[in-house]
Amino acid sequence: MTWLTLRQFRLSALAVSALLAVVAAALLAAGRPVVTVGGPGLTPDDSTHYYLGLVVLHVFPAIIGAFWGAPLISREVESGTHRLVWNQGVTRTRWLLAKAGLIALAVVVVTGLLSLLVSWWASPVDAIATENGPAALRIEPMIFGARGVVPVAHAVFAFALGVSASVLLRRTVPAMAVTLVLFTVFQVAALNLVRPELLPPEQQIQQISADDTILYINGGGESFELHTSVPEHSWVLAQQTVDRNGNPVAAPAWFFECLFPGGLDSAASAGGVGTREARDACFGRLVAEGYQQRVVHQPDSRFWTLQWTETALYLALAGLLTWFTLRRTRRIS
Amino acid sequence: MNTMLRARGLGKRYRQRWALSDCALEIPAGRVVGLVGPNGAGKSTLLGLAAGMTTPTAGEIEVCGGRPGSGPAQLAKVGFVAQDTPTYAGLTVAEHLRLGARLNPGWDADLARERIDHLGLDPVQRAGRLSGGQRAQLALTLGIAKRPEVLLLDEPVAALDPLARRGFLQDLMETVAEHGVGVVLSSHLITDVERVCDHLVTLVGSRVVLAGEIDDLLATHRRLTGPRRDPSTLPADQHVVAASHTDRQTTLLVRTGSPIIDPAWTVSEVGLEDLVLAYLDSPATATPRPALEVLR
Repeated sequence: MTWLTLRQFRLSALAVSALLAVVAAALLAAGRPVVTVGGPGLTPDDSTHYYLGLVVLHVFPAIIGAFWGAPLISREVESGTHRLVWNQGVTRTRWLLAKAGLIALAVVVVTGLLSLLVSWWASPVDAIATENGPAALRIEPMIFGARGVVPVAHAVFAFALGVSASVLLRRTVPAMAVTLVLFTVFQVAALNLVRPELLPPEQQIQQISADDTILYINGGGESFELHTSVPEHSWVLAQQTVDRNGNPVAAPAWFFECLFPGGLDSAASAGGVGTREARDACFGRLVAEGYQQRVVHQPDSRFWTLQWTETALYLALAGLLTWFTLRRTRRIS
Repeated sequence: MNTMLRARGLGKRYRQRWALSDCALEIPAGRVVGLVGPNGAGKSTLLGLAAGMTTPTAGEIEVCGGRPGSGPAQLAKVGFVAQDTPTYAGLTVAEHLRLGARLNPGWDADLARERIDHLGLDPVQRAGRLSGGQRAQLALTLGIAKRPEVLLLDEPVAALDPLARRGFLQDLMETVAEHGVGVVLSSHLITDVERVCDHLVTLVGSRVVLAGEIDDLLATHRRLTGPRRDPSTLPADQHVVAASHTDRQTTLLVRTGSPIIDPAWTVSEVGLEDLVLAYLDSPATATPRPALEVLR
């Protein structure tokens, strides 16, 4: 089985390896960027490479699913060769396990190398990242998916998804399309709904003060929200103003009038929000009434815990899909 | 007596349609069986069930004493060349043999190589560039060199021109004689079956309508020609398969175990093709009833 798998796999393996080689060449040729805290930002070239790394690692699992996973069974069915290969001395269950297992190993190696390369290249940038710039933290969604072991788990899952689509649809092109669509939808949903809850996020109560509070005003001032500055090395999930007892509330209406006595328009024409003393008085009253700000966040220190948790989740899903595929493979005639 | 294929109440349904129903067969080991019938009669379904490619909806089937598709041991006993003789277009002839060697514990490498030499196939040629006949031969080689007890061939010659077809069947017969392997071969051409088979199974509309040793079938069917008369007046042991009438004359195809003694009839033998065609046409076969077992 090993020989046959490698023989059939060699063209698609070459194509994907070529893609990997191009990315590697680009990053290695450019060299790692030199950045310092407070220094000038990334050069335009470095910036391109930085985003290239992100995009490649987010797209790569989808490519694996569509080009390595989706054709695995459907191509055999389309050419009728499943009737040849499943009537040799190897059961179709062993055939599938051997084939999918070997390719999954290749997925792990290739994606692992790619992730390692990108993580290495971007590590100077990640080192100076904070919540408010100059670069995004590695725990924040778009970076998190392109660092560490998570891309490998995504790729293995995408591959298993592709093989499942392959056995269900039994036609290569539809299976590829369905794999791409389902994987994208799943990734978006997982990123927004699952990852924030993978570990119970930390909650932090912060004092509101005039120095680090931003006012978000909706429309012409019908409603507004307070945002305080947040932990510097955290992925912030939510902010909420709470009262003395910790119940979520809207910031009181008098606060807005206190800051803008004549309304928004007159404040805008006056070129600001009045005197420093007037502002401090407003904030002082707010604090005195017990208003506080609750920040919900995943701190950067949880990076590896989150990475391994998400990896375990994706690998478990891939295992389920493989079990499903094995069952469905018995139905093909 | 060893049985290479036994089926009882065997049926296969695809969605609402029964592709094969209530099939009962018992075929002794080492026979060369011709499986005939119109398109869609269930030939491929029966072969697929025997190979273990599909599982029955009803009843049971046993091939060489085992349940098809039950594991590697059963796979080793059965060689299956599917319809359109699939091969990997991108793999060379030599790579196909390597595939066979890697995937079959009982692979006979010498046999495979000799066959390829004998057939004049170029080992470095990709299978996708072979002619239909060569591809069929390559698929057959894979089926034979695994040294099965039974070889199932689904329309192996359907895509071949008459000359290639004759060559393929001749070669098949030589191999069968040499290795004593049983064969089930489906075809819609009765002449092919007549040339190589000693046992016949006829399927019509998902049912077996005629099964038995070809010699027995020919010995027990007679064509009767005589003055016009009603077939229902025949002796009870003469079963009418087909009847045609002109104003003055009646022609019957009957199945009977005893000699025809009525002097009014002109009795003649029936060829296999006419016999099978009579069963395919017979309205009696359109209504469900048990398969006719021919008595010796």
